[in-house]
Amino acid sequence: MEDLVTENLKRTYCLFAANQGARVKRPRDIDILVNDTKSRSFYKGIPDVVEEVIKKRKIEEKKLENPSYNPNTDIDSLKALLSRREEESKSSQLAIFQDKHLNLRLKTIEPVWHPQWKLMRVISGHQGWVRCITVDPTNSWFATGSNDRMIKIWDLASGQLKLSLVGHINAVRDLVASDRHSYLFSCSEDKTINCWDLEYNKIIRHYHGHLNGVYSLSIHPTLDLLFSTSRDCTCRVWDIRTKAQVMVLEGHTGTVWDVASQAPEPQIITGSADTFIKLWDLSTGRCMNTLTRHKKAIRAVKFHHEDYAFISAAADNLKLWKCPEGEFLRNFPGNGSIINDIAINEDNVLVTGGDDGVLSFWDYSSGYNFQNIQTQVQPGSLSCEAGIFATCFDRSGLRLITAECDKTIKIYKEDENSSISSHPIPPEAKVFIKPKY
Amino acid sequence: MTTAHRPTWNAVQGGKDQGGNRILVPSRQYSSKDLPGHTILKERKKGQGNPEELKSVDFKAQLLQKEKEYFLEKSKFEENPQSEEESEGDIEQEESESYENQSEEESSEDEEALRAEIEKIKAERAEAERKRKEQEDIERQKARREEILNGNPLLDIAQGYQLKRKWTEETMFRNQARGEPKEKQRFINDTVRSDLHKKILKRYIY
Repeated sequence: MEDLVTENLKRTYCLFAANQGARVKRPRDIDILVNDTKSRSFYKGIPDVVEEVIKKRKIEEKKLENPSYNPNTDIDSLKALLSRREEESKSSQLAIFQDKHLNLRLKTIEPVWHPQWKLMRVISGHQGWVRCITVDPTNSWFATGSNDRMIKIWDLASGQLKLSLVGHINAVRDLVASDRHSYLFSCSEDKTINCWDLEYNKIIRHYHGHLNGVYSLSIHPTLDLLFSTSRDCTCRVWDIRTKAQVMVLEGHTGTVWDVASQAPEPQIITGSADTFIKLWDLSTGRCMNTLTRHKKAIRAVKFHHEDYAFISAAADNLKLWKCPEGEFLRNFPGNGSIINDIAINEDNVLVTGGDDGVLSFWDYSSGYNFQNIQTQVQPGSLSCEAGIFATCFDRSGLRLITAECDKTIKIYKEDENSSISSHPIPPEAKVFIKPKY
Repeated sequence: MTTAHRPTWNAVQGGKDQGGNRILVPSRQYSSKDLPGHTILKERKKGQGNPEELKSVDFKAQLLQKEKEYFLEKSKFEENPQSEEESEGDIEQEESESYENQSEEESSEDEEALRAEIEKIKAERAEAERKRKEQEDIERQKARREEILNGNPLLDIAQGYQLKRKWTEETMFRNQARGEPKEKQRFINDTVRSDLHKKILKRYIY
């Protein structure tokens, strides 16, 4: 047996050794065929138009020569007309056939059904707008930062206040609880970034350098790096331990609203008010790519937990991009409201929190918007105070926490009573993706 | 004059060369906050939510369990007072019923003696009641007489013909707010628009 195999191997080597590294030849006929079909589908209607124009000109010329000339009496032209109609009907049949053929080739994505979400709990306690949320890695508590300069820590299961942290002198804009360290990072409009030790609940480090309010924070999943973006149009990279500023990533011309970091590639992504997304190379400290497809300010950028892709949200659309080069994949058509934050859970439910208080739920795989909830303001507030500043799933993905403009924190959960029969997916929610030539 | 009152049209932009980051001459001044300190990063140890430890945790089950416990406790706290009262009442009723049953059984033997005893007690009680009422009547009469004699302040020379009541106790000054509609307590989610704030402004500022 072994001998046979070795002989076989040798034969194949002899046969194909000469061809190694050579390009595979495409038969010429295929190229011609492809070009033909392409040109036919593109320029299908044009010959008819040309013929018609020529005919019209001829008629006009004849009219000029002989004013009493009636084109309908012209037998030749009648015959031509008849023949052309026949041709048209044939070609239309052909077109239908082609369309059907194309439809078969279209890639369809069926939306996945998700249960509806409903309000479970409203927590009030902050004196100002609640701007940010972070959930503890152990899933026992979550922290919120507010315009009243406070960070409050709440019990996740009961929703009761555990602790208030005071240290900032202006609105707290973002919070991050580190997975690996027992630290909580907070940034604020007072230009400071603080590191809280959760064993003592005290500030132990300050990261000094931003020239304006700091809007967003992110921790590198594996390295001890902290990224912060600010109204001073920069993103700064900090060494967590030494408080030293490692890099300044400058290039945006507007407030940098959000930053997302990832483990697989030394790259971070920032979304800015100048409508651009920039991908930064951390090894060189330079901008790798600028994505310019958005028309409105980008307030949220979020990595997907499984797909190597990220989503950016602006008032015009949500857009899905492929990592690491930032290739555009798909649009999630937005409803025109400013989107402040995105959250994705492990069941692929994508949630966006709008500035007008609309909480939209999307199926991530197909981009089907299966639910919209308009938040109700707590009694005693103005109706214009309906706005969602931050959305966050807890670690289990069962509870959705939102930070709102009416100074409350709201917790949503899945509705057990909803089923696919009570909330069916409409057939038009199916997504077709055109094949690429 | 400062520019603090002006709106910020163009926010300050940061960069490598801005904000004092350009090093022409190395500065000798350091902020105390920038001095080295806390030079060791605290990793999450075992029991503190270590990433390794959390890999095996079923967050969904954990959260549902915790919430269940919380709601159970909450419902207990809310329902307990009522349920306790009910149960106590039931016990009392049962006790009295059982007592009656027992007495019926035993009464067949010394019914006569008991009856006589009860009659006796009843008579005693009636007597005591009568006496008490008589005493009360006498006392009431006395008090009335006293009041008639001394009640009119105009006739009481020792008080110097002066009324004891103050002028503020006139009926027209009393309970003026009685008929007014009560202001409903309401919550306004704004410290500046809240009723308390308005009240303070009205009292001390305006």
